[in-house]
Amino acid sequence: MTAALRIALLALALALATLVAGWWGVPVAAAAWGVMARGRAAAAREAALAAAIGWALLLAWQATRGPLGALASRLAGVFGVPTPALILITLLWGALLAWSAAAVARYAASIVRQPAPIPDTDPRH
Amino acid sequence: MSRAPVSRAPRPAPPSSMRPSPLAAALAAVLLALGLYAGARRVGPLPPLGPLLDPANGAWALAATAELPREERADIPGLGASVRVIYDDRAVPHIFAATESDAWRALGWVVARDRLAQMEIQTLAASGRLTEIAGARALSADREMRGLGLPRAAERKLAALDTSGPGARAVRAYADGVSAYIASLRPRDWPLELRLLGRRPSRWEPINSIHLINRMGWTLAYGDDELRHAWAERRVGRAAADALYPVDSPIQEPIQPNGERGPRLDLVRLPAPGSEEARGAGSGERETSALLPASRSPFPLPPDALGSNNWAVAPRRSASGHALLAGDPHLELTLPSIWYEAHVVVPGVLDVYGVTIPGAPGIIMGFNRDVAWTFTNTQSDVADWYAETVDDESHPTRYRLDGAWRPLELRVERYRGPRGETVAVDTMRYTHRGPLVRTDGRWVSLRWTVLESSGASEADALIRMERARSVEEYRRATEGWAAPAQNMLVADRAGSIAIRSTGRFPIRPGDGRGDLLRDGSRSEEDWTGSWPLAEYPQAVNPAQGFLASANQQPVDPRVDPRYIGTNWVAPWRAVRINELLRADSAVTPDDMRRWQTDPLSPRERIFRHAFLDAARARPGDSTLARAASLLSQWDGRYTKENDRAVLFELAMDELRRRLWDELRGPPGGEHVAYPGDGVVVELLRDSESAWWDDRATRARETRDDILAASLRDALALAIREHGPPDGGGWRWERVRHDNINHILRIPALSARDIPVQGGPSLLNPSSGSGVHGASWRMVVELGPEMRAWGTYPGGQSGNPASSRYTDRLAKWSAGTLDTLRFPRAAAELSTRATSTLTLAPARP
Repeated sequence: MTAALRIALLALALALATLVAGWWGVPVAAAAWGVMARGRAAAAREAALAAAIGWALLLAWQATRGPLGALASRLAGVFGVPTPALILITLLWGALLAWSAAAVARYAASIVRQPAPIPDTDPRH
Repeated sequence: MSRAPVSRAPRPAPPSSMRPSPLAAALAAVLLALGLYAGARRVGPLPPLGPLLDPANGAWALAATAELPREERADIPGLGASVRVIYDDRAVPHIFAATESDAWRALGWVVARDRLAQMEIQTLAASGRLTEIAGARALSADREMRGLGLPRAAERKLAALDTSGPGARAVRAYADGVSAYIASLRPRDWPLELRLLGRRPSRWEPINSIHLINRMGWTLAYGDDELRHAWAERRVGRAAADALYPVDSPIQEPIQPNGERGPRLDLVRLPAPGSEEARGAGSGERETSALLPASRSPFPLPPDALGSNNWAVAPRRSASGHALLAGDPHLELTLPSIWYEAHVVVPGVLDVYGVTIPGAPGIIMGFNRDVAWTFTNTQSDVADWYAETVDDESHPTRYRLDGAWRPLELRVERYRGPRGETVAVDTMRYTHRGPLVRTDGRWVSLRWTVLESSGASEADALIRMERARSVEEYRRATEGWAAPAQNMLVADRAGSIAIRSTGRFPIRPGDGRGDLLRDGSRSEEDWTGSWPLAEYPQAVNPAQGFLASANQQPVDPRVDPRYIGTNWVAPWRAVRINELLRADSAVTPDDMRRWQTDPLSPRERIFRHAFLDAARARPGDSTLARAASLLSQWDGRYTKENDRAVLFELAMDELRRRLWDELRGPPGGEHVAYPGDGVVVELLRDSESAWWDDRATRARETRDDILAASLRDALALAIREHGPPDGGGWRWERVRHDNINHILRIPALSARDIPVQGGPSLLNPSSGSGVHGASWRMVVELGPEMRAWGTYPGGQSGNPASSRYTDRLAKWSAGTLDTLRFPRAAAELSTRATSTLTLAPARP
C-alpha cells in the first residue's frame, strides 16, 4: 500500500470517527493507528497529516450544507484572528491531537513485544 | 502439494533505532494532555475548543443550520394534532394549529430554534444567575436582581397564576414546546453562544417566562426617585430639589387630551440653590433627607433621548377613511433582537400577528383581524423606598413598625459558578413591603408593583387581548394588567381609537407623593390602595381625532393633580407628534412611517434660538460669531448628511455641564443628576437666576453668559473632535450612530456604527452611546382587510452565519418598513413560503 493511499484511508477513518464520536474520535482513532503501526517510525506523522486532511474534508462537507464562509468570518472575528488562521488552527489542533495520541500509543505498544500488525516496509528503515 | 507451515515465532523487537524516543513520547504525552484538556475545559479566556473547532459537531456545524430547510418535520410530546408552520419570505413563522395549546407549543419550538441562546442567557440575567456562565465577574449584576427581589417575585407569581387561566396554560404549553426542541438537539445543533460559554442547553421551565416579564418590568418600571431627590435636597435644599425634579412637567402635552390646541408651558421660577426659599419648610414627616447620607449620588437621569412612541388616527383624519395606528417601542438594541415576529392561527379562536419576547408566549404588540395595539412605557412611579429601623445594623433579623419589632423574612441566595461551585452566599431580607437593602450605611426597603402578584396576571391579559374584536373588548381584556404600567394604544376596524395608561398606580398617604423617602417605622406611610380603573389616564375617540403617547405625563395636572409619577422626560417627542397630527387631516400609512424617523425637534427650535440670541448680544467675540454663523446655517433637521447638528448638541452638553455645577459631587467621584431640559426651559426665562452662575468663577454669570460660553466652547470641541466644520467630519452619520451589541457584547457578532436619521429628543431618539433605539416599528391600517408594515433592527435568526441574522438592518436604518404578510390560510403563502415545518404529536 502506498503512503498516499494509506494516509487517505486514515484520513477517511479519522473523519468518520469525528462524525460519530466528535473530536474525541480523533485521539482515540489515532491511538489505535499508533498501536497498529507501532513498527512504523512515520506513524504519528501520518496520523497528523491524515487528521488535517480528514478535518479539511469535513469542513468542505459543511460548506456544501450552508454558508461556511460567513460562519468562518464571524467565528474568526470572535477570536480576533484572520479567517484563514482560524481554519488553520482548526486543522492544526486536529493534527496535534492525532500526532500526540498516535505517538504515545506507539511508544506504549513498542514496550510490549508483540508483532506489529502493520510492518514497516519502508526500505529506508 | 501442501506447503510446509511458516514459522510463527515472534519477530524480534525492532531495532532500538526504530523505537520511539522516550523523550519524544513524553513530549507527545504532554501535548496530548494539553490538547485534550483544552478540548474539554476552559483555559483562561478560551472556551473549550472541542465544541468550537470540531468540524463535524462543533461551531462549524452551525453552517448547516444557518438557513431554514425547505421541508422539515419534528415530533413534540403533548401536541393534540399536527401543526403546520410556514415561513414567509421574511422568515416569519405562520403557525396554523388546531388548538391554542398546540399553537403555544409550536411557538415555543420555533422561537427556540431561532433564539435558544438568547432565551437562556436572558433568563439567567433575569433570575440573577449570570455567575453560572461568567463566574464572579457577574456577581454584582446577579446581586442587583436578587437584591431587588425579582427571582423571589417570579416564584410567587408562578405559584399565584390561575392554573386554569389562559395565561398559565400558555406559559406551560410554551415551555413544553421549548423543552421539546431542546430535547431534540444534538451537540452539533447547540448555539454558538452556549459553546463559547462552555454550557449545554438547559431544560426550559415555565418560571423562565415569568423571569423575562419581570426583567421587562425592571427595565421599564424601576425607579429610585426618592434617592435622587434626597441626594439633591442635601445639596440645594428641598424647594430647589422639588423644582429641579418636578412632579408636573413644565411643558404640558399630556396623553389624555386636555382640549388645548398645543403644548402649554407651566413655567415656574426656580428657587436659587441653597437659599432659604430653596431649603423650604420641612415638616416632621418630610425631614427624610437626614435619613440618607449624602455620600452616594443617584443614577443619572435617563436622558431625554430615550423613550417610545405610539399614535393613532381616527378615520375622519386619515386619507383612506380607516383608522391608522403606529408604534415604535424604544429599548436597548441587541443582537439577536429583543423581539421575534410571529403569526399564530387557531381557526375560530385566534388569528394574531406581531412581536413576541423570545421566552414568553403571546403577541406583545401587533394586530388581529379586528384590532391593532401597541405600547409605550408610562414611566409612572410605582416603586417606593422606606427608611427602616432594624435591630442589628450588621445582621438584622427584625424591623420596627408602629413601635413593635417584626421579624424579617430571610432568604438565602446562593450564587453558583460555571462548574456548580459556590461563588457567594447572601442572606436577603424582606419586610412586609419588599426587599430590604443596605445603602450608604442605612437600611431601606422597597415596595414595587413589579414584585407583587395580582389575581389576574399579565400573562392572562396578553392572551386575552389577542382575541379582542373591538377597542372595548381590548380595554376589558387588559383591565388586570398591573406592571409594568403601559400606555396601551388600540384601534379597531370600526374606527375607534383609544388609549389608557394601564397598570397598578398606588395611592399613597399624605400628599400622595412617591418621590420622597418614607419613614418605614410607621404603617401609616404604606400604600392605602390603588387607583380605580375608571380613573386611569385614558381617552376613547377624542374630539381631536387622534391620540399620541411618548412617555409624557399622562394627565394634565389641571385636570387631575394626583401624583402618578415625577420628573417626566421633557415631552419633545409628544409635542412633535401632536404637531404633525394636528397639521394633517388626511394622514396616510406612509406619513405614519415617515414620522417615525422625523428629523425635526421642538427642543432644537427653542434652544438654538436661545444660543443665537446670546451670541448676537456679544458682537465683539469673533469665535462666538463664527459659532453662531455655523449654527445659523443649520435647517434644524437631524438628517444623516447634515453637518451642524453636532455643534448644537455639543453646545447643549456644555450648557448642562455649566448650568448644573451645583449638582456635581467631588471631582472624579459621583454621577451628576441632571434635571430634564424642561427645567432648563424654565430657566431660559429667568436670565438673572443664580443657577446660571458658574461657581468656579468669581464673576456672576447670567443666562446669556452661559449660553454664549457653551456655544463658543462647543465650537472648539467640535473642531478638536471632528475636524473643521466643512471637512466632512461633522456629518451626523459620522458623529452619531446606533450600535447594536450582541447579547454577550462580542464585537464580531454585533452591528455597530449604523447611521440613523434621528437624535436626542427626536421621534427617532438616539442616546450618546447609540445603544438604544426603535426596537420595533409598526404601522397598521385598519380597513376592510388589515394592512400592516413593520421591521426591527436585526433578523429572525440568532445564528450569526444565517442570512436572517441582520437582514433587516439596512431597511431599519433607512426608516423603511416591510409589508407584513397576514394570510388567513396557509395556502395564501404558497408563493412566498421559504420553509415548511410540520410539528406532529410524538408517539408515546
